[in-house]
Amino acid sequence: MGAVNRVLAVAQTTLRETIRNKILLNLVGFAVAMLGLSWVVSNWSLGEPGKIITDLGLTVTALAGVTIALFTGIALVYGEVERRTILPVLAKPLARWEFILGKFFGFSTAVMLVYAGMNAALILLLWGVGRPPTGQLIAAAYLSAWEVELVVALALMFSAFSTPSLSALYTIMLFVSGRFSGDIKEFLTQNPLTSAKPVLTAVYAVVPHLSMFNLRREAVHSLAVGWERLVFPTLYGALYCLLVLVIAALVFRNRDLA
Amino acid sequence: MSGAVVIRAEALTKHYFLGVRRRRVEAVNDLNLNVGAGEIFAFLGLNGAGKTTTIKLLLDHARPTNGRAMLFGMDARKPAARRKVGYLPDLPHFYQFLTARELLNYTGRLFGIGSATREQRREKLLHQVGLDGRGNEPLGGFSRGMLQRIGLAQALMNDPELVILDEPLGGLDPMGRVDLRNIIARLKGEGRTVFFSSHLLDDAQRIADQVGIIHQGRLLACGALQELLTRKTGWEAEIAPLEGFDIAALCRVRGWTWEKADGTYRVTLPDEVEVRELHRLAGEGQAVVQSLGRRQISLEEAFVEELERWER
Repeated sequence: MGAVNRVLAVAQTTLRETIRNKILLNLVGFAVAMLGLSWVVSNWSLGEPGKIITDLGLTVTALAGVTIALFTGIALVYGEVERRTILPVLAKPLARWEFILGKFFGFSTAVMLVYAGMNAALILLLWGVGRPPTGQLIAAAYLSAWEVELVVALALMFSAFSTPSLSALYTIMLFVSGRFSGDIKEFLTQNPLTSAKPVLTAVYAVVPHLSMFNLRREAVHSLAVGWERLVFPTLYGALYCLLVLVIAALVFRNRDLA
Repeated sequence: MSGAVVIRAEALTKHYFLGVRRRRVEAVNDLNLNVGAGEIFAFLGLNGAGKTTTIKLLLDHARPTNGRAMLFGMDARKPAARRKVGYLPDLPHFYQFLTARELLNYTGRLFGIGSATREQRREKLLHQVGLDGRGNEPLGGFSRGMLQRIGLAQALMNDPELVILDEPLGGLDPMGRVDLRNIIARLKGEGRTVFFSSHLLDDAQRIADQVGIIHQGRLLACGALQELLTRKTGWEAEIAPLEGFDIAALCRVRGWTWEKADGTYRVTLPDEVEVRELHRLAGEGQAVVQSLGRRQISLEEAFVEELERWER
């Protein structure tokens, strides 16, 4: 129980620090403004306002979630080492992996609270235009949350050993290639003899398969979503996060704190 | 706990490799050190001598290149070795959005202290460091002195047997230094071991009973403060010569240094042979020895002497 309590203590402190940070509030304000903009755009467009708001709204909340995860997460461990706030913390009987895990849970919770708040705003907006939220919308938001979680884990991992700018670069590279993971698979299926096959296969194996977390089309057009479209990405997301956190803990274990 | 070794460093070595060309910097080199329970140990050295790196190795903030550090007989790399340790870093920084109370709560939770005890200690420590009225303010608004005080409170939250303070006196105003010296003396009175690094030798001399001098990563001297201050320093006597006796001539012949003050002479004798000579003079009735004792130098003089010896 000792380790669990210590991880929870780190998580709670990280949550407090993140929520009280004004940068986060600014990002949330920006995202809410963008949601408002989607309502304005829906009024100007010829299409069905509910569909436009759903489409734009899901895009905005997902992007805002990823942006917050990325730009706050990349400094999560690095910033503590730079500001030296980590020194008194790691002078306690706290293992380095407990610190990493606590940071992840605390920061994830903060990002998820913000993300949930933005989705609640989206649902209210949809209600306002006479389109109550559908199961597909909830499912799309749920899977998008996993995508944000993956970005949190990746940003945290990179921040355990590199500077914020490099961490941002690595995370963005993995995020973008992850978004195109479906296309890589498609390309390999259609061109099995391509000379780039070993490289692309390796890339496909490493990058997060973010395309599986996208249910926006189903949400906009109210298309049926089978349970396997939720369960498999959930398991994949959880395992990927776990793997990334294990790597982060291993790298951070032997790092000297400057 | 008396007599037990609390901190042990065995051939502790830390090399850093800097830059593209991987230039090697020997931060700590083959350091052997024992700190006993209940001692106030001052770890002295110039800036960049290796004091903070040694503390980092003791707390597993950095991994040794060679050798090992132990706390309470346990490998310092194990988190459990830090269970009875309190630590105040040099220029302490804490989470700026937390309040002082939240920081102490957090510290208590990391040590696994139950909520009732945590609350009781938190309030007691806030009172002891003079921050009882500021407990609910965010640390981001604290001055340097206040951060030092809350840092000390968090270092004592687990009722530690060993308190490690990295440059605790640096940057404090005179009253702050007096306060901190009193706190360190009180910690010793409570039976705790205090290990602190400093380059403020005057303060260190006032509170330490053991010292270690580190320079360019190497431990030059280590032991009891009194021993260091009286070692190889000779004897000092105050003599009143009888009328007509030319003490100055004798001093010149024997190689004693002297200075005259109000009819008496303050004489420095290099060793026991000369002390016997002084006793002979007194026995023959040529001079009255008013006082005789080991000559004591200041810690600053001892420190400079050690560094000069090393440079030679």
